[in-house]
Amino acid sequence: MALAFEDFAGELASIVEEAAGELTPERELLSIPLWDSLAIVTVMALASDKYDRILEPDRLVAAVTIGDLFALITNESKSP
Amino acid sequence: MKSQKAGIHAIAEYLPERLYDNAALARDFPNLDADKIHAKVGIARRTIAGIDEFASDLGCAAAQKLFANGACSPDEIDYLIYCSQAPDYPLPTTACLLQQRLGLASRVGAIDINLGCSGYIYALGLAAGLIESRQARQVLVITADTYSKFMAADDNNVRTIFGDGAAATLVTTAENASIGLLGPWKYGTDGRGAANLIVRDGLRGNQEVAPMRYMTAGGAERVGQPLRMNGPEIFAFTLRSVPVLIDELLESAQLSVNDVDLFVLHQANSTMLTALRRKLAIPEERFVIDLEDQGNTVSASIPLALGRCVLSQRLRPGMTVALIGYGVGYSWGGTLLHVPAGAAGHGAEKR
Repeated sequence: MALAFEDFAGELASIVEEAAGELTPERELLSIPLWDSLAIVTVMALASDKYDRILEPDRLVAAVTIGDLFALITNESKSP
Repeated sequence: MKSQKAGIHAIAEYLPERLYDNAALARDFPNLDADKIHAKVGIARRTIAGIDEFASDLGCAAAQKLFANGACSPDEIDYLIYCSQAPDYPLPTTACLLQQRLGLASRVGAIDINLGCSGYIYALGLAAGLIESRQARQVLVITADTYSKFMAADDNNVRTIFGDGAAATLVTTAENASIGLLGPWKYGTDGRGAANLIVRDGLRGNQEVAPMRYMTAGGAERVGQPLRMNGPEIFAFTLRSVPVLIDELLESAQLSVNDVDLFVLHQANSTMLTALRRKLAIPEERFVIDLEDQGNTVSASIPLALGRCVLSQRLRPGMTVALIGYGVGYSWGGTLLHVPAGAAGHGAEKR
């Protein structure tokens, strides 16, 4: 089932404690005050749990925008 | 010579009295919210050793409690395995010092092993090997860690997670193993992950990176390098290795996930544990999460959780329990605990 950006933004909103409407694809991750190591790990848990993905940390850390992050989750190879 | 099975007879725990709760964490790191930290990592407070209290002190207290509970007397111990990443000295071996402090006989063997979150499984595996090969009948396994001694006070990444603690486990021959018999065993190692959880101290570390003066989470000034953790890399390693480990372990025992009554994994943090539980499709009631009141206590976390399951009677006669460790190294390992019918056992008396 395809993952909609709006659904992902809703999940991310609860992780970084911001309104989903503020989390646009263009927004830079570093502009989110709570985008830290714990948030990254929580996104990895979300990707594993809901989308059966294991995100590669180096690619995750290299993501610049929320849109990049969304692309990682939708394109990353499936868990072994 | 016929080999014999080994198992666990008793577990005792000891936690330091000093607490670092989420309100204190939020005061030190104003961008953190105490309630939300609890929801994210499942930890309300971390137990932190005093400035003059070391891992060997915690381990010694846990072992003394084991003896006081009547599990056995010090002179009945044949071998001591001390697992810690916070030794008293580079040398001598901390286990030798503990032999004297605990009043163990001079005929005992005593060794240290340096492993973190997988350490309990490795220590149990060594103890079982000693018993099965009839080198020893009663092995005292002490797992004790104090990461607060080398966590930097200003590193919220690690201070959110780790607490200090110790456990003592008595591993004995099958006829006395009232908590359960151990085996089979599976292990794994991948040194490529070494840099992702490291204290870059010691002979090589000091040459690689200049020691610095910093304040530790325990409140002492220290010269050296603090603990560094790459949380996302550790998380990815865990998601990849632990499900494979559990598959291999169960396959070697010709069991499936549904045959295991209880899973006791290293208590890293609730985000990681919940991700593993869901990935393995294990129901909540068969999966132990017990770190709220002490945090991630490294090599002590599995025996703490297991001992409490004995005390609370969550561990019941006839159960099959999976014990799984994973972390720093990278290193991982797993075994099964088979609780005998009609078992009682000595659980982990608190503090």
